[in-house]
Amino acid sequence: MMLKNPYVSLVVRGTLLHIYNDMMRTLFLLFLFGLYRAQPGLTQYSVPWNLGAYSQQHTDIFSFGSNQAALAGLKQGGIGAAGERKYLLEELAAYRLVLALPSTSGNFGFQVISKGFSDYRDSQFGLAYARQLGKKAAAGIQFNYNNLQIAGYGSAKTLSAETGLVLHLSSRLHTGIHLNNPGGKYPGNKMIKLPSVYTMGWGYDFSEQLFFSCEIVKEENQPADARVGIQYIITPALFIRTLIQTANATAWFGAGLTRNRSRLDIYTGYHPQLGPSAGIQLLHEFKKEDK
Amino acid sequence: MKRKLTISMIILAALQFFAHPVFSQDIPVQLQQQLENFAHANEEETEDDAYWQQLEKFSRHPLNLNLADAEELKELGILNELQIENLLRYRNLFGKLVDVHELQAVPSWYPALIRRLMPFITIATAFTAKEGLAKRFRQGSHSFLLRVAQVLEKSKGFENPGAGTGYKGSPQKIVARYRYTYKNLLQFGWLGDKDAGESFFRGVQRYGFDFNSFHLFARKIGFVEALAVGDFTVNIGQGLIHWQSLSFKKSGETMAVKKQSPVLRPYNSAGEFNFHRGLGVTVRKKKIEVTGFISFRKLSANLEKGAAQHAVVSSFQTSGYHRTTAEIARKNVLAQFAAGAIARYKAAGWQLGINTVQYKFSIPVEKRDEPYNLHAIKGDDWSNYSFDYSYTHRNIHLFGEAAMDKNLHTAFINGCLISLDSRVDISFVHRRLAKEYQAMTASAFTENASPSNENGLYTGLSIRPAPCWKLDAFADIYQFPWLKYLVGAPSYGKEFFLQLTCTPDKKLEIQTRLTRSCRLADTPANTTVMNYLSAVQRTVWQIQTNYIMSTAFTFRSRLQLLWLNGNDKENGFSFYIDGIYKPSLKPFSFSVRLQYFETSGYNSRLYAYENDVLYSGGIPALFGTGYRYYLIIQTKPIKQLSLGLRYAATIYTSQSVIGTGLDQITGASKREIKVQLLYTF
Repeated sequence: MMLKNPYVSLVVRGTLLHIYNDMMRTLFLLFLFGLYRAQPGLTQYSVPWNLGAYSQQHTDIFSFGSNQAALAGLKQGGIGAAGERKYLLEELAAYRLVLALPSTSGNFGFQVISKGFSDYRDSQFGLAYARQLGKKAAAGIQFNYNNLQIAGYGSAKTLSAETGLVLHLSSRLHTGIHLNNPGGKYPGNKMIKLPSVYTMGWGYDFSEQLFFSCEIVKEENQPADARVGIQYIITPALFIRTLIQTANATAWFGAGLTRNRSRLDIYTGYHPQLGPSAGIQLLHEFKKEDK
Repeated sequence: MKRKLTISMIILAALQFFAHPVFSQDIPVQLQQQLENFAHANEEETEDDAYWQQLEKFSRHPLNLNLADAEELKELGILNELQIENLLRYRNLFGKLVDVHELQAVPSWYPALIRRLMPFITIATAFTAKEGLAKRFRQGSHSFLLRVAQVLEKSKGFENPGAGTGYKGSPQKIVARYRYTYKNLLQFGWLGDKDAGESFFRGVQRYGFDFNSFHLFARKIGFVEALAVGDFTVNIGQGLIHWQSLSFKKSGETMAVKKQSPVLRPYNSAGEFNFHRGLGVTVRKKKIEVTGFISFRKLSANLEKGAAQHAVVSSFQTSGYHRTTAEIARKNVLAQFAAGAIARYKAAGWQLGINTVQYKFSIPVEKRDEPYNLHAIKGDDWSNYSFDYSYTHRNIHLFGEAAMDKNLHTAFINGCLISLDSRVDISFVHRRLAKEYQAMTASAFTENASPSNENGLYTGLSIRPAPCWKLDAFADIYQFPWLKYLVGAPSYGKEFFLQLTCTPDKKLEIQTRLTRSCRLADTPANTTVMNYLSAVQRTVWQIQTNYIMSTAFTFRSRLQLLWLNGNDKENGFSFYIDGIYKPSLKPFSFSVRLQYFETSGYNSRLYAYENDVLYSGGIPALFGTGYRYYLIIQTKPIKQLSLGLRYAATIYTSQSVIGTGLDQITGASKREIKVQLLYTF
């Protein structure tokens, strides 16, 4: 009866539409949140960003993202930037900026990561430090400032820490562990928790051209994820790499060009249900100082 | 401030000056894994620390491989029968060993095995001094050990001390042990044990410890090969009729399938069930060896009214706990008389034994009237008989035991070890144990905890394709012809195991292993009239690294993943790192572990061997989600004195109550502190 009144009908329809839009928006945010949870943590890196942490010959300035101890192995500093669009969704875009600065008393790294879009933004600012512990080991630590912002829900901020150890078992075989935010929480916010992530990794330098890597990554309350990767430098100017990730069944392929001290590489990933992803990385090594 | 600094400097300098190096001893990784398997199969840790005492003894008095006989080599617990036989043959053929490097020439001995043996053996000129009785009593060493441990959180049982159904005593666990040893030839001693919750110099334990153990054990006195007075263990054949020492079953040591131990062994551990108390003697005349023993002791047991309305023993209380009124009431209610005889003919390359064990109880045994107990031991006496054999022909070693119980039911176990190549060994064990067959204190190479109601075939393989690589695998397929506890129908199962070990040098070992098993069990939460069996598949993958980074520092790590597919799917994850700092010639050492674990429930629990104060170890079952860490500090301020301190804690992230019943703790953390003093003189 009431709906026969065009004014009342309009108000009700408008309200229902508003509720529907809100619900869809919430569901969409929850869906995105779910996708992010399928990754190793809210502020965790994209898988292809960090190959080479468990190596002596294939480490680059991006490697310390998966284990800060890898930073200690860098002979020269550099700057890098990366961008990625997961499943080609604008809302799942991720950007990263890294800076590595070697010094005589250990190496320093700086990292900024931003994921998501204007209504759901997950950011991290990290400062890392690593140094060699003799010839056979290296250790590193990183302190992060994390900020999670969801439109209509405000933001949550917290500090977190991660630490890593890499052991050079031989000139070719390397292993290491990485602890990210063990037991950490967003203070005063019981709804969300910055996940703790435990990683054990192994790497084998077959040669200066070929590198094999395997990491077992366990995020609390998520299935363990095995990440197996191979990098092959075909010529000094060209390399290819591939990675398999088991927890969400994704295969990644990448190729890069190196010229002088700069490198450009692109990669793509494929998930059987969610489709393709794509990313790009740029790296520039600083000039080696003459002693 | 300055004064404090000066005092600290003086203490530090004194420690450096007077200090003696900390005894650095770890049990072999293989033994740690066997203990983990034992804890998983029995759902409890063993209190039998005889393996520690053996290794301690051999590290103080290394076994001279130029003099050691087969029995002494077996006592090491590291060598299998074929390796022992090969060493004895090598010695007979080429004479005394000149150097430890020569061991690599012994067939089926390989570098990693020799490295594992190194702390416990020596190659010295063969020299046999006469070891008179007076010398044995005068020239040995005394040791006194005192270990006190306590969980810092108060559990429910301690909330109202001494009242109602709670624990009557204090929360400390105390072990005190005095021992005198002269080489491998004489030892005697006493052990006192008070478990947490038991009274101490109060109540029923008014004389002090709840459990006291005395023993005197001598070897090689003329034709007397071994003499045991007081507490001792008896181990016969392949364990079908009697085996009391700690024994392991399936493990990464795929060739360790034959049970091997001297018949009589001294008992000096805190476990309160698996030993005899009385007199045992082994005499040898040329190729004939005869052992006899007689034992009388009281056991704790649950008493119920049987079918004839008389009191019967429905179960034995093996835990040794006497903390509550109910547990105290069960203490020593049953008198057990046991006797046995073992005759063995030993010739070069083969031996044959004939054995019997007799039991008499003061109260008849009658287990609860359940279908799975249909064939259980019943009555006030029990007896078993068997003969066992072993035979070595070139690269093949055969062994076995055929047994019979009081009611003439039979059990057979037969196996062989074959060294197919210097790099390939293979083993088989076949067992056929009638569903009616029973034995009192037995432990054979079976899937079941006690040898009964089982048919099966085990096949093991060990390949060393290159000096630094070792591949071990086994497959075990078995069936249970009758019902078992929580398995309400005849059932079957299988287990497969694959392990790859890489030892590129003396400092590094990387090992990965995959175990997959499937067995049938009652369907939980079943609502049908008749329960039915469903398959439970368990898969465990683990990788571990042991890296000696320097003479002082060792790094260890392990990652374990578990998948359990039954009616309820469960997963498990455990990850730990160890740091062990033992500077050589320094009076202190440190050991630290950090661990994270996450399992869906108790069924997906994971075990990891933990270092402890000197001569002990721990294997807690970890389930739920949380962190665990421990710190151990060992110091040796003077040569005779060793002090140890261990602090361990488990912090759960997803629960606020730990444990059940009287052991329940309200809170998310459980912390334990342990202090040990060891004085040797």
